[in-house]
Amino acid sequence: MDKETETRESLIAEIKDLRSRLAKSEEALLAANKTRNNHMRKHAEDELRWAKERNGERARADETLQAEKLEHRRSEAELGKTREQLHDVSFKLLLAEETERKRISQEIHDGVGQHWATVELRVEGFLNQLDEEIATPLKDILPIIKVGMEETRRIQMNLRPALLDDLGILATISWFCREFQKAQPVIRVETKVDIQENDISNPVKTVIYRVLQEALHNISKHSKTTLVNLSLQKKEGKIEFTVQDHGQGFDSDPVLSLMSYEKGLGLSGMKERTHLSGGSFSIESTKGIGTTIRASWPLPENR
Amino acid sequence: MLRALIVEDNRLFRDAFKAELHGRLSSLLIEEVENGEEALQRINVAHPDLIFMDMHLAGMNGLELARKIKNDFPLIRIAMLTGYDMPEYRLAASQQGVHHFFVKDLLDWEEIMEFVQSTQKNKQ
Repeated sequence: MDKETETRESLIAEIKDLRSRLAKSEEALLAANKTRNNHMRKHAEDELRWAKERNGERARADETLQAEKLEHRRSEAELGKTREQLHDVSFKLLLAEETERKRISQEIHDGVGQHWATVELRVEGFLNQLDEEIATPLKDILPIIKVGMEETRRIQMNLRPALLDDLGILATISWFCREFQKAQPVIRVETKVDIQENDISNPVKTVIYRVLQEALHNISKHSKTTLVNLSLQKKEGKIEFTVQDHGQGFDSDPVLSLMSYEKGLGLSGMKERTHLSGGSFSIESTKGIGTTIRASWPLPENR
Repeated sequence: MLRALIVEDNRLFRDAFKAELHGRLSSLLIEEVENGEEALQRINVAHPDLIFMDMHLAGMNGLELARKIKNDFPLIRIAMLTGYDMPEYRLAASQQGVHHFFVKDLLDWEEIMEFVQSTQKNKQ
C-alpha cells in the first residue's frame, strides 16, 4: 500500500468515526431535547392546572361573597321592615291607649258624673219644698255631693281632658296652664301661640298635651324656677313646641347624667311619643340657667 | 204657649231637669229627645222657642248641634248645660250661637227662669 492510499483510508476511517459520533450526539441531543420539552410541558401544564384551580376557587369565593352580600341586603331590608312594623305597632298602641283613656273618661262622665248631677238636682228640688227648719240641717249634704262631683271630674280630666277632643289643643293648653298656675302660684307661665288649630293633626295634639303635662310636672318638682316660657308655633314648615324654664337646670353632659335624668323624669316617654308621632325631640339643660324641651313635627301637607 | 226642648242623653238627669222645670213653670210645654239627630228632626215638627242641650251628647256634640240650629233656626234660643265650668267652653259655646251657659253642678235656677221669661217676652 502506498503512502497515499494509507493516508486516504485513515482519513475515511476518521470521517466515519466522526460521522458516527455526530449521529450519536444528535441522538443524545434529540433525547435531551425531548426530556426537556416533556419537563417544560409538564411544568406548564402544572401551572395551568394550578391557575385553573385558583381561578375556580376565586370564582367560588366570589359566588359566596355575592350570596352573602345578597343575604345581608335581604336581612337589612327585613330589619328595616321589622323596625317600621315595630314603629307602626308602637304608634298604634299609643293611640289605642289614648282611645281607651277617652272611652273610660267618657263612661265616667256619662255614668257617675251625670248621676251626681241628677242627685244634686233632686236633692235641691226636695230641699226647696221643705220647711226652712227641716231643710237647713239637710243642706249639709250639698257640699258632700259637690266634692263627689269634683272628684269624679278630676279623675276624668286626669285620664284625658274632654276639652282636648271637644275644643282642641289650643284651648287645652290655656286650661292646663291656668290650672297649673292655681296649683303652683309661684311659677308664672307665659304662653305664646302662633298656629291655627287645624294646622295640627289629632295624634300630634295628643302628644303635645302629654309633653306639656310631663314637662310642667317636672318643672314644678325639680326646676325651682319662677318663670316658664311656653310656645307653640308654625316655624319653617314645622310645628314647634317648646317648654323653657329658667330654673336650676342639670348637667346635660356627660351623657350618663342625662340618661339617668331621662329615666327618672319620664323624658324618654316624651321623646318616644314625639318620635312615634313623626316628630323630633330634644332637651338642653345648663346648670344654673335652666332647661328647654323642644318637640317639633313637620306641618301636614297642603297647609 | 212657650215650647221648650230638652236634648239630653242621660235619662235620669233629663227626667229630674224636666220635673224641676215643670215644677217652676207649669205653663211651659216641655218635650225631650236623646241626641242631636233626634233634636233636629223634632225641631222641624215642634218648632220650640228654646232648647236646653247637654254639651256632651253621643254622636253630634252640643257645639255642633248648636251651630246647626243657629244656622237653620236662628230664632230659637239655646241654653247649654254642662259639667265643665271653664271659660274655654263658655267661649266656644257663645261662638256657636249659644245664649246661656249653665253648669250642671250648680244650676242657677233664677238665671234659668230669667232665660225662659226673656224668651217669652221676645215672643210677645
